[in-house]
Amino acid sequence: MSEWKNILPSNSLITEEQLMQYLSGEASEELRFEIEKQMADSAFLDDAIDGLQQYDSLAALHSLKSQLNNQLKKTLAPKLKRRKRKVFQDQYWLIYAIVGILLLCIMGYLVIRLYGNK
Amino acid sequence: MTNNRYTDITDTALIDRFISDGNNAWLGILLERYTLLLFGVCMKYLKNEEEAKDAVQQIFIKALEELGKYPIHYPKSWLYKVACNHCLMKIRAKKTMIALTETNMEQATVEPTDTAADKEQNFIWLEESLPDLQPDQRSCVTLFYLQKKSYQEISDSTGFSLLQVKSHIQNGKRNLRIIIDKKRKEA
Repeated sequence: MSEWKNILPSNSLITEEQLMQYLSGEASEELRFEIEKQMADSAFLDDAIDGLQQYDSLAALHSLKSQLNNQLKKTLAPKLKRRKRKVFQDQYWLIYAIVGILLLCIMGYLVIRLYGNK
Repeated sequence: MTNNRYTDITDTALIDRFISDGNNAWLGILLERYTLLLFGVCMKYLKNEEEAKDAVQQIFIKALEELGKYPIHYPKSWLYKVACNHCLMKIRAKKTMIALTETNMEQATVEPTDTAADKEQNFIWLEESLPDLQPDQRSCVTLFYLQKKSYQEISDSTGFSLLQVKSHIQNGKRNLRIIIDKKRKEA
């Protein structure tokens, strides 16, 4: 009866290395069963493996993944720069405001001293 | 799918961190987890490497724009849905007749945490319900879950195609769940 526990959904996450082992046919019986069990539960994994199995070379897949991740980093980078620039712009306003207030204080002090002496 | 970066942080926690500090890098970590799977899905439907690469980039851009705007409880399922919709749109645009097989969406929900006694009862019901399945589904479910045969081995021994094997297993499992739910209500 306990063999039915295999039908319960698995909570373990498949690592990329394990996926590559499965794609190259080098996965152990246990790993192969675990991945195919998750494929039966997950249309995402099932579709993805169907698509990835079109590749014979794992090196090609690694290279493609690197390209896509580099592109993603480039997409993220300008937004980070814009954020930094915005922060600097905000700080400039703060500096201008502080300098302006200081100037007003000095001018006020000078005016008071000037009229006070008279 | 996981890689070595921040494996201890869940997908939803990464989105929460993005929402709290506005740092896109958290979304980057999240999306990198699914690069390969998304590429695989796009390759399956678009069947062209350049188009699949382009599609993944478009999905990333959409995700960067949308994630954090509204609550997404299952980012993995959401990304899969976005990928499928994007590929469908591309296919429609090309007016290519490719029938997308009816896909059961990611079962993001974890099964209820039954007690040991509940589980044992479920296993008894599973055993009892197996004969109620259609013969093709019954043989595939038995070979896969009970005898731990691979898709390929089941295909070789039954004569079904790989696609049919997967379909029989998925449908068989779904039907078993329906039968057991019914029995649970009656009990």
